[in-house]
Amino acid sequence: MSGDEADLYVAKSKKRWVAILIILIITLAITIYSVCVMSFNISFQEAWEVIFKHLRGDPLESYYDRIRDYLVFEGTLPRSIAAGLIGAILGISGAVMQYCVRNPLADPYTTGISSAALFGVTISLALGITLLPLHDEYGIVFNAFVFSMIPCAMMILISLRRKTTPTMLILIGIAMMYIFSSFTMVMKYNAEPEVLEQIIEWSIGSVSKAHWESIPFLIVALAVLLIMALFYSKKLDVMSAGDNLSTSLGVDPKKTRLICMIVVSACTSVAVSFSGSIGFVGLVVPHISRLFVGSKGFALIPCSAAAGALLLVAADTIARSFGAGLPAGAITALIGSPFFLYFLIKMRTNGWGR
Amino acid sequence: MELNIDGVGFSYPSKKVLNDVSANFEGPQLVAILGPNGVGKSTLIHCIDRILKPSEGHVMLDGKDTYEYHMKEMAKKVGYVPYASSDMFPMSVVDAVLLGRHPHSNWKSTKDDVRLVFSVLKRLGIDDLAKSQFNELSAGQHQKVMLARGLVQEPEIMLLDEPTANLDVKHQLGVTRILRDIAHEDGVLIIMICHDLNIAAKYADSIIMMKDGTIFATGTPEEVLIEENIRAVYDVECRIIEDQGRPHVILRECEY
Amino acid sequence: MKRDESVDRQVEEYLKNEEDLAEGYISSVRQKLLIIVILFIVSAFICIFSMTVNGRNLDFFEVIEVIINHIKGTTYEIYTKEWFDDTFIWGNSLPRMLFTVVAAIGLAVAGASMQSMMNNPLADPYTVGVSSGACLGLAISIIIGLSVNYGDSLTIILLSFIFALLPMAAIVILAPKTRSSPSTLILAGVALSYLFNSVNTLILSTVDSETLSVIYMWQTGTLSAASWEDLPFVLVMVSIGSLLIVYLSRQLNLLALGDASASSLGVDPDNLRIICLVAIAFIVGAIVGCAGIIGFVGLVTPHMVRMVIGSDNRFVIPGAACIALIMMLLADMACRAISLYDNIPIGAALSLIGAPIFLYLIIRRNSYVW
Repeated sequence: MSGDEADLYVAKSKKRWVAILIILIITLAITIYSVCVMSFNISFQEAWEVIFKHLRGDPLESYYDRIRDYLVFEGTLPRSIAAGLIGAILGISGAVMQYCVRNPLADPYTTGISSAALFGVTISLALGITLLPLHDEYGIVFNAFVFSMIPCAMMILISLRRKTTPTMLILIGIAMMYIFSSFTMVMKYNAEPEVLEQIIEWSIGSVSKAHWESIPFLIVALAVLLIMALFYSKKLDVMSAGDNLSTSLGVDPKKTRLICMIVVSACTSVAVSFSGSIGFVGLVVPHISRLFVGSKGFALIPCSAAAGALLLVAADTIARSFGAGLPAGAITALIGSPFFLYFLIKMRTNGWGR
Repeated sequence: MELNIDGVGFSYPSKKVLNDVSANFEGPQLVAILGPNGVGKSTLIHCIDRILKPSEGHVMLDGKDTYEYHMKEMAKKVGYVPYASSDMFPMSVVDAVLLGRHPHSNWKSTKDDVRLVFSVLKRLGIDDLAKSQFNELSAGQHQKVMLARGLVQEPEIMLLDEPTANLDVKHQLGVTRILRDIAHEDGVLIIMICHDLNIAAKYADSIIMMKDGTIFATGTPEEVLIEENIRAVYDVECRIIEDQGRPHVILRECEY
Repeated sequence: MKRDESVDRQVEEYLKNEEDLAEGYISSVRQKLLIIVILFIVSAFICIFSMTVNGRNLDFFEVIEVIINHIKGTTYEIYTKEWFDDTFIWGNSLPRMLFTVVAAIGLAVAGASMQSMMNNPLADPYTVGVSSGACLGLAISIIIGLSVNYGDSLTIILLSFIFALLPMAAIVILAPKTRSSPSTLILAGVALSYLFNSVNTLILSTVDSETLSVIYMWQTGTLSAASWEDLPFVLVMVSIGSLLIVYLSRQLNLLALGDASASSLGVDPDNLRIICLVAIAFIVGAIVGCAGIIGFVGLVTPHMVRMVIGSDNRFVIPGAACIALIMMLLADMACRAISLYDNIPIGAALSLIGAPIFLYLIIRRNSYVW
């Protein structure tokens, strides 16, 4: 490469990071703004006043103050933060899954975890069984988490016993998904309408149940996922060239795939346990990111994280502005699809490089 | 048969790849297209077989523009063998090669079709792979299967994109010789993209050397493979000697 | 290319067990044909067999008798045993069985062709958003109040069908504007599917829980809505779509080689994909309108057949249709055996029976390519 082209290459890399930075800034901006979006009328300034007051430790005088403090500090603030975290987790998970199984249709739930999690939730909602006798909601969350790890365990077991191709892993995930969803379906069918509504709401995915207590879990999950993904990003790039080529380049595709899928499953399970299965983000955000920063893992993964966070925070904010009870999961596709289709047409490429 | 390439040009949105390429081919022969990477060889072949539509110029096949032919007619006349990729697809070797009979056969594959497949497999030395699944093959075997598929198509013109790229020396020689024999004995115009100057020199009837998206030189191997041409096109110093009646390129030095 | 006599001889000499290699291949083809024929016969048998779970306790031959008699035009006095038998079988079991057959065939054909078309094992009939459109149509029509009972279902079906064609129309319009490689089509279809789904969800979240239950029940895949009035429409749509796809199955095989090779063999891949999409939209639109979303068959039965027979669509498509038929009929039998009128969702039974089988096949099968 001549000097000029080297400069161009570096400039292009810089451009990528600028893009990621821009996305992060927008996300932050929306998050900051979103604190004031809720069914209760409150202005942007007021909301932040409440937050600062709380952080300063000022005592709450009036009833009015207490309500506002509760709504903002216990309501919208953690919710927005959680949305950002969950969106980031889903974005990275989707990107990594697509690398692992070399399939553009893969998403974080390809391993079947969302059906398993939903099963756990339905058991507790419809039949009242929780694995640990924890306080109400935590029982449900814990159920979801434990069950969602079962497909993962299945995959590990099968991989240990025989040679598995990426496609086999997908198919196993699909089989597990069907097994769990069939049980869930039966329970749903026999459930009363109110319980059914709850279950459906859970399965659509909504950030509304996030509290401050969930945030540490989400932060840990995101951190673990991000570090692992970045650490493996080079290997994932190599793996997309094909299993034979990777082995010759010193990357063990089987091991890498398995480790990545386990970590992705675990971290996504954490997210799913709190929010239900929010679709679309994990599938399409990596593709959109690819259109902006290309296919290299080291750029794609942070970009997917940022874009995922942006999408979910925006969706959640919009959902909230329409009144309580509208799940974010329904809005993500509404915002994201037109965007995505527009870029597909405009850039005349599918981002997958072909 | 007659193939005329007349002022063909092609551009991708970002850049112009082919520029005013013209060539004439009459009658069966083995033609080798040589040239550095990225110079437009594959693009040219794609333009001939209607895989890409040229932005300028025409390709005339037996006096008619290729786009005037019905797709199935084209398939009977022109066969294309791609560069072996790492794409796997889910079928046995025999089934994969049988697909090449599609333009000729109807719903069912006849016994003759199958016999043809086996004889071609035997000719290429891969008949023992007949029942193997495609994903179990090595890159070289892949390539031979692709070649077999092109051969059973029984076309008048065959376009091959680096048919010997992944084969070892013996198979490179053997396959190119088979291609030459097919050209002469079976009356096929074979146009192949080749990277090995010497194998092309040894077997080809004529050579096209491309540079910068256009044809730099055409003619017999003796005419084209001279030191000045190789220096101009590849930027490589060499010495040409004669061996068995054909030129042989001995590479010397290059600036890198 | 000349037929080389000596090569022929060499080929024949090269055999083991005195078996002509070509003969060997054709006999393996014959084996595959045999398997398909057996599947057909078993399917026919199971069609009648599934009707033996009925409210009238008729066994296998009695069911056949009732049907034959009805065709002959025998009438019965009202409220006699024979009249009840006839009414039940002819008014309930038979249309339900026929509908299951049609739905199973349609879904299997749509799934197999979708997988070939997209060159992706994850594809199923609903990948491109056709089902989301249909669901939306379903939800809208129920909310508008077109009909909540099953009597007037034809209008509901028509509306869902029209809505089902929307995503497909969008893709057909979009396709020339993008580089329509399979990946692009898939992604565009998935995005559209999510879009329609989210609109659907939004609508669902605004209705009260009673309507929600009704809509949900419709959307979940139930065969109980089958009646003689709806059957002709579904039958026609599924037939048109399936026959078209069966006709194209040979060309679909070529897509596996890649677009460039396929076009050099005389097949226009973009065209082919769009035609298949239209066929699939017809099939899925009609089925979802009548029965809701029945998952599993479209995705898994083609894989099951491929594991045994290999990837030739000329065999996979009929094979998958038969297996889907058998599975759905058995699943429906199981549902009805548990409770004749309670309408356990067929999807649940299907997955419960089929998924373990599928899992077993995946684990045990050694050389499944793809």
